[in-house]
Amino acid sequence: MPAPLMIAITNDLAEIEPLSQVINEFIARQQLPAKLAFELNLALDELLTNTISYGYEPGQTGQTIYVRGVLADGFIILEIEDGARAFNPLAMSEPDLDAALNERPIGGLGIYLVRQLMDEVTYQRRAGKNLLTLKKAIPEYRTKET
Amino acid sequence: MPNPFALNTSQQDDVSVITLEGFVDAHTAPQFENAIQQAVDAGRIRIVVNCEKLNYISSAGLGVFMSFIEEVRERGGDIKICGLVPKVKHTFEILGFQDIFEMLDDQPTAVRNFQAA
Repeated sequence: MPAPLMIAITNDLAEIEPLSQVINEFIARQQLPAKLAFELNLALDELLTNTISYGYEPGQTGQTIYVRGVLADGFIILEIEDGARAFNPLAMSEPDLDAALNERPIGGLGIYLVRQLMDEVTYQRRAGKNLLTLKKAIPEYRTKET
Repeated sequence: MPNPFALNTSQQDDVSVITLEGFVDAHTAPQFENAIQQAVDAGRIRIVVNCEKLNYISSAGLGVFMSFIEEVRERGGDIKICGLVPKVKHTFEILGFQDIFEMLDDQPTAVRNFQAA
């Protein structure tokens, strides 16, 4: 099993783009497709942007958010752990993409993207932390193992 | 390989062209929003967003398109998108943008498309 991924960022939107470079390198090291890195980055971005934008009090900077990843049994599993206020993004209602233009919501698109890109997304509130877990099947990885 | 965000605006006849490059997320999307806002405020409501060098966009950037399209169309203009690379186009398509926006292959085609209208 490859070394797991462990990254700590602070609650600053400017940290998301550098994080994507780390994810790109991690996926490339496992010789997995760049498309997978792209999808993981988009899902992480959407969830981290929510947390960073709405989870903290104004001026509450320098808060650490942990992103962990592991490849196992044909899946990649990513976890986001933050100490922001309790918030379950998965409880938001899905946007109606068939609605008329003037009735389409702008909010909620990010979570919709996450659900489309990942196979499983779960939320837990544990020990005063938000814990989001993303799971995505990687058929290529299972093939390589066997 | 890092590909930082960059934005350029230009005018081609009566069409405003906004060229996006690199990484559009919640951190950089406000610059995109400002560029469209400036065009709209100046009455330039025929807008092409050139995405040939765009290699990433999140919902924060996609929301910018959504927040202007209704006003621009009500005023007789439009926002057309061109040059999307496949992986980025897929993000637009997940959210059904192909039903709302015209997506064209390249900038000359998009500009011509306005002029033919």
